[in-house]
Amino acid sequence: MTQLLRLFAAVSLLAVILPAQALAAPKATVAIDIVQASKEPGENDPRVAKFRSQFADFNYKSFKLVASRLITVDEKKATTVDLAGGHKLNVTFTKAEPNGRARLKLSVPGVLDTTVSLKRDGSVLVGGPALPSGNGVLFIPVTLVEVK
Amino acid sequence: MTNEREEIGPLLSAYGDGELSPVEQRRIEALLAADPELAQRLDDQLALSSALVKSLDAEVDEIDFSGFADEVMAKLPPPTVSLASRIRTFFENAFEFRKLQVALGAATVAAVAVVTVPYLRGDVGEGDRIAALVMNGQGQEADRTASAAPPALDPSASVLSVETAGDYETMLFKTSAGTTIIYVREVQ
Repeated sequence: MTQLLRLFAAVSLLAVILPAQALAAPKATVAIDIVQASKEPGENDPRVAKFRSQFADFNYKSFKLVASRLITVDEKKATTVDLAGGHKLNVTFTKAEPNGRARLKLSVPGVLDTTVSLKRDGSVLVGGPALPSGNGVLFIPVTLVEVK
Repeated sequence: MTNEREEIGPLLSAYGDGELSPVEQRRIEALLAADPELAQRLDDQLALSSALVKSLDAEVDEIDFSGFADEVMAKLPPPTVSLASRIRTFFENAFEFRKLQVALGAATVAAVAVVTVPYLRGDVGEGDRIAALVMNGQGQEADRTASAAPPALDPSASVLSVETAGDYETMLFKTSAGTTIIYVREVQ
């Protein structure tokens, strides 16, 4: 009888815990780097060295890391990141896909709306939003760190 | 004379049908001129032969041959062609009528191989391995490509849609390292 009560208690506990876990919205952790690119010669920020191969095909001569952000976004929620030059980047975690992928909507208001699908450690580079006064353009590597 | 008549008896019928050689024909004609009884015998044979032909023609005219060919064909078994023969015929026709298509297909495969093999082998420089597509602001590809390189098969990042605002246009790149680049610029 005691064993039967223990079994009943375990089943009841699982019945409470499992739906709560199932209902918990997945979260996407996204790394966002903000890089200022200029056609004017200048010092190259060593912190952007890991992106140099991605910038190599563009006609810019100097690169500077403005900021790095690590954000966590709930599914179907959005987070806004300030870029530079008045630009903002809205990141919406629209859908958790199979195999740990995440579907993200990236929006730079007045410039660009795009939806991408990233797997863990996958990156997409948004480039080109111009900075005021001819101070070059922005390059924004967006990397999916994980989906939980 | 009697022996000679019996000897030429078989030849007389052939003479009447015009089947003798010139030498034999002249010989028979000489005999006929010298022997009236033999000439009478030839006339009798010719008359009998003529009557027989007329009689047979009359019988043939009374027979209805309409549909005869159809009845004969209907009684013939259907033509059978062996499977091997049909297969051989199929391929012969295929090669005969599709030579051009086969040649074009081979040329296409060769062209694709020429374009893609250097990329697979990494023989193309970094700058050349970047593919660009210009988007017209509504996520539709315009007809401009920076190079002939096909986009790398990179499952780590996929661009599902792109839309630009205002006077911006989008260029979609994918580097050999697999990085997807969405580059926007103002339309001049």
